[in-house]
Amino acid sequence: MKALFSTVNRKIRGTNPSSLLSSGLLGLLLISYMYGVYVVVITLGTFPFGSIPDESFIQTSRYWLINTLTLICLALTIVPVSRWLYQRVNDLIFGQQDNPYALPSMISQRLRGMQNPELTLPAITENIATALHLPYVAVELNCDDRKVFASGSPGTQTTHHPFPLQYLDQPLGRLVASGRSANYPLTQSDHHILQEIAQQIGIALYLASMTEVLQNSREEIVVAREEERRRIRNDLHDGLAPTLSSFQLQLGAIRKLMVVNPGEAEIIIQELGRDLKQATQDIRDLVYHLRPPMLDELGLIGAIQNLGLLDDHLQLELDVPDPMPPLSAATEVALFRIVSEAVHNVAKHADATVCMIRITLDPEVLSLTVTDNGQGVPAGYSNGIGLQSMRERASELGGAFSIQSVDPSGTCVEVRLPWRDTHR
Amino acid sequence: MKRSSNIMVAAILTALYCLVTVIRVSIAIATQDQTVQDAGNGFAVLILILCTVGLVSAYGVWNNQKWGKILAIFSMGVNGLLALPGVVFAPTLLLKLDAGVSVLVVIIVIVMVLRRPGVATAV
Repeated sequence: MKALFSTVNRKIRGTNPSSLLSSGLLGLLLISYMYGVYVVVITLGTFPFGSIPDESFIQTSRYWLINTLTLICLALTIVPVSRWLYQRVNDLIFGQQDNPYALPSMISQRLRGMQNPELTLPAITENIATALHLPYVAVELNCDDRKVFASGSPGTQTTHHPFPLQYLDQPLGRLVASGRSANYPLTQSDHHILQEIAQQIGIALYLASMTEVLQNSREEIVVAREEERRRIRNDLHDGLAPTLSSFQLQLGAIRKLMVVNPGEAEIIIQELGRDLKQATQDIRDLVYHLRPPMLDELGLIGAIQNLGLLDDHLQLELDVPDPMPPLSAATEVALFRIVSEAVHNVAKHADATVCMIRITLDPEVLSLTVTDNGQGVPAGYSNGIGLQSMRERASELGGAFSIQSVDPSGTCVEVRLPWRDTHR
Repeated sequence: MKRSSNIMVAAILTALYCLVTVIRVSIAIATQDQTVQDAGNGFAVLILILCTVGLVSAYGVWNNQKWGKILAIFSMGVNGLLALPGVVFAPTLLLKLDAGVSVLVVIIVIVMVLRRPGVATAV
């Protein structure tokens, strides 16, 4: 007896109060139903109403008939009725009927302040599991290491329901929730609430990833700017400054020699002239690397057409929009550099006679292709500095770069850059 | 606050039923009615307590609160159980009808409280 009492005590202590309440209500309703069916059958059986069955009634065959009818009625209806009651009582006890907006609203508030998904998502799964009384809730992310933030443990007895996390048709992961028990899967209102929450999480995850991309992009811009500054500083410090110093020394030497040895002075003046020419070329190169002057003088198309002059054997063909809409300075420079590198590669490696440069403009994408009729991409080629540079220039502007062989022979370099026509 | 018609019907029926029963039982206790003496004062007091709880639950149901719905099912369920024997064994046809109406009200209230609200109100 003591053991029985302790077992019952342990069971009660280990049981969720909500489950006890649910069982109590269900028991009350089922007993009431069975009692009600019995009373209804007796009432109908003791027709006309108003007569009260006495002890002799028990002796009659009608009494046995009533009992049999009650049993048949209960046997036929108890399963669907108990199932209905079971689902509705559990929905009432565990569901969010009294305030269906409370949980999505709370999750929304948490997501609004989300800076690091790894800190926020575990708390969110905990909130969902607690509010809906679910044994297991998890958020699985579609990242490289497929992170899972879970609350509870996935039981083998219950069914797992996945809700996709996505934004603009971009799958980001899934929200997984399991039913409360094998007999009690998620209700319709649970599905609605979890779908709502999954949508919110999807949007928040997308925003978080975009914020991270933006932050990385900003850092890359700063790094690139610093690299550029360092390069210019080195060029000025190591190239121009010593050259100017040497000019100063040479001028000093000329001043002395002009009196004592004018012939020697003449030679140094000639050398000085050559050095000055070289220094001027260095400065031009430095300026050219900042932004090709051709772009300002001839425009993008003119600058590209000018590239053909570098190789007489290569025929350059252009298929570009006429008129070419204005592009941003960054896009212009990137396109020119990529075309320049691609045409240089064609001239150097492809053994081609024709190189076709095509620029097409979709509403949101600028597409550049440089196609030649040369020998194509050799098998097992590896990315050189030139290809890597083109890829990086496309990537810096949020675009994509690809290179492939084309039929019957030749190579096609394709670059797709985001673009928006601001003059529409 | 948006409340479904199920909830409104359940709350109004619970409030009316409990209010009428409280008044009737109070009068019956005060006048030492024969029915109360037959059933016993304890039974009458139990009905009074259940109906008072029922009135409180009607407020909760009206405000679409979970505790109100649970309390309403409990109080109306027990009321129904107590009223059921009257359908068969009440001494007069009037009392039988009275018990029958009580049982009917209890069934309607419980079904209305348990019925799933529409999708628009669920989320």
